[in-house]
Amino acid sequence: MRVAKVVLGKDNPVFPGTLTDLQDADFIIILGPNGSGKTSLLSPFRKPGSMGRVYGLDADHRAEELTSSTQYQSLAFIASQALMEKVQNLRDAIALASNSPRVQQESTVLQLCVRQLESSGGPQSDEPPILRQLQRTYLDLDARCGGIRRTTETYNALGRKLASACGRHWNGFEPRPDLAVSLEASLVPAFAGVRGFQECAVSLQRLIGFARDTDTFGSPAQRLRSAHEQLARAVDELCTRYRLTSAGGCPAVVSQLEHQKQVTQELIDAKDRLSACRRAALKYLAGISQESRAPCPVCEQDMHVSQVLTRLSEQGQHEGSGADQETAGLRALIVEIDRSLHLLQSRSADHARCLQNALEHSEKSKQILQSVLSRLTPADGWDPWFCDALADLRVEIERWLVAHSDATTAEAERQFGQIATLAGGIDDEGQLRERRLRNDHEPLLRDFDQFQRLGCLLRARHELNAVVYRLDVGRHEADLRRRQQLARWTQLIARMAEERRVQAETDRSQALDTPEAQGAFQRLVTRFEEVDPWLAGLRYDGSEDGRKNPYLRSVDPGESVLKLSEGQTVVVNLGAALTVAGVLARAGSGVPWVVLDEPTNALDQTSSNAVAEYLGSVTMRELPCQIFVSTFDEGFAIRLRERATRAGRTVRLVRLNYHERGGIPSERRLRIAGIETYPPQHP
Amino acid sequence: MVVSNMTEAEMIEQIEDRLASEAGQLCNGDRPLAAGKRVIDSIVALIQETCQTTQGESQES
Repeated sequence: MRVAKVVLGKDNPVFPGTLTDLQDADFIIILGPNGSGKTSLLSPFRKPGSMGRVYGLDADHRAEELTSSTQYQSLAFIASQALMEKVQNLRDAIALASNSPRVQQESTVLQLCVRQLESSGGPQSDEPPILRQLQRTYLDLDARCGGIRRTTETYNALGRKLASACGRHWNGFEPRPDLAVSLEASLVPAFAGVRGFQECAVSLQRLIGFARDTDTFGSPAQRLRSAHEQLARAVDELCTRYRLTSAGGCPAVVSQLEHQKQVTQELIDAKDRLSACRRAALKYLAGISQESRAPCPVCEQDMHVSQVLTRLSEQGQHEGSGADQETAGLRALIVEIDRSLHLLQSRSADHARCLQNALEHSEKSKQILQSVLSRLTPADGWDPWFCDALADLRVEIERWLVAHSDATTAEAERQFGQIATLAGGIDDEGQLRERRLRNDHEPLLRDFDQFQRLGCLLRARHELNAVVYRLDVGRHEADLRRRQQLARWTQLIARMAEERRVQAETDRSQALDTPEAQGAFQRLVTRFEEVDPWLAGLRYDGSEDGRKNPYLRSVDPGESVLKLSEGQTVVVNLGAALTVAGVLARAGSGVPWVVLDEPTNALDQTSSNAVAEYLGSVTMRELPCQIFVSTFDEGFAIRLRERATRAGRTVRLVRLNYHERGGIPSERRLRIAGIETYPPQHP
Repeated sequence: MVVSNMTEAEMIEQIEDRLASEAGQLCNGDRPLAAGKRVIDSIVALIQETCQTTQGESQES
């Protein structure tokens, strides 16, 4: 199959572009200045893909992509740089052309990669964060455990002790996270005080507090008795003073005093009216003749008015002074009676107030005792001592309630105080007993605290172990996968190394170790007879038999070391490359083309002419495939075209225009200036 | 590219790219040993990266 079309890919610098109808051409010359895209146009031959693809035509003239291994593609693409590589001998030349040194070197590099990968053991993994976090938690809990032994035995011993204290059974479980938590919660040692005491404590305190307040603020009964005595004393005193009768008590005395006050006031009023009458009579008598006779208002004797006036004046003066003193005494008596009344009323009010207080206190005492009596009823399960004490107290309370149903007395208060003292004794005893129990409870609480801390520690360790295990499993699996991955890639690299080694051997055997290849090479170099006789005189010296290094020697026996100029090196390498390509093409194992990219770089005109002569003279029999040559040298292209047509090849000359790099993207494309076809010239 | 899911063809391409990057120096250059070391280091780093990613994915899961 022959190359028919080259289609450039999107990554090609001169995309888009195509080169078509190549199937009829044996020798394709791409001619254009530097930068016109010659190498880019030929790049799909070197590595098909995004740079472009090469197509042939099948029997039905349908386009079919021409592919081959990278190895053969590289063998068929001869860049100018490859032609300039140094050559020491024929083996070097042929080997360079066949790429076997590079393949062999790559094989060696890959083998070294395999060794390094096998010795490195792969990457190391970091400790995962969850493991560090759990370790930190564990260490914190461990610090909190202090002197507790961190063993399951210690944990179970504490569990048994607490279970016994709590009236439960401890089976000695392992501190698994899902189990220990519920067990620990059930083993909290609850405080067991005097049963029933706390229920009655408030009532007892109320009873005790009421009695204490009575003592602090004074007895209402005593205050009532004192008020009563003061009232009675006042009544007696007033009865004596005013000669009153005490029968009827305070109200009767008050009534008598008010009556006496009223009588006294009436007397004062009569005296005042008499004085007024006398003053009126004197005024009347003063208005009539003093010689007239008139009866005396006092003795009723008939006498002269002047005499009457004299007597009335004397009588009035006499009665006036005595009356004033008497009236003042009467008024003082009224004031004293008012003061006495006020005293009696005050004493009576005090008595009434004290009586009210005493009644209220009595009522409250009854209420408290009745309330306490209803609350101090023992229930099932209460402490026996407490029940007995309550029974005594209840008896005393009931007795008080019967004896002091409707009055308040000092005796009632005294007995109430006795009841409160009894309640206080019960309260003190209860608190004492609870303190003892609390003291017994504290060690259990400490044990429970240790139990919890140890349980947390053991659970943390359990979890840590589990995580470590899980991580170990995960790490093991990851390591396994990593090793498998590593082994897979190592095997791949080893396989690539082996393939390259075999390829190098195959290339060498196909290209070098055959008399055909060596003869072909020597036939090619003999064509330089006219251009470079020295070069044409190079001969293959020796064979593989007994010679490790078959030198390419000069015909001059004295020239032991091969010294080639750059031009000669290019020619030798070109001969070797074409020899290898010819061998591969004839063997049918290569690609149906040979590409030479700028083969005349670094050559002078003479050497360039020689290469044109040499390359153009290669016949289809010597190199049975299409030859693609790119060049900027039009003279070289013309010579090549002329020589190739004479050698029997159909030549296609493709002229390219200068491609402006960095221009507008739409203008960066392959610019074909012209395509010329030259048929073979048969002599 | 997720290196842990790299196919064999992709790995071959990666390795050949690394070989090609030093091809000139590797065979006929002035410092073939240095070029060889660069290629080896590059390929070993690539392999270790794929293996490290594989292990990291395992821990995350």
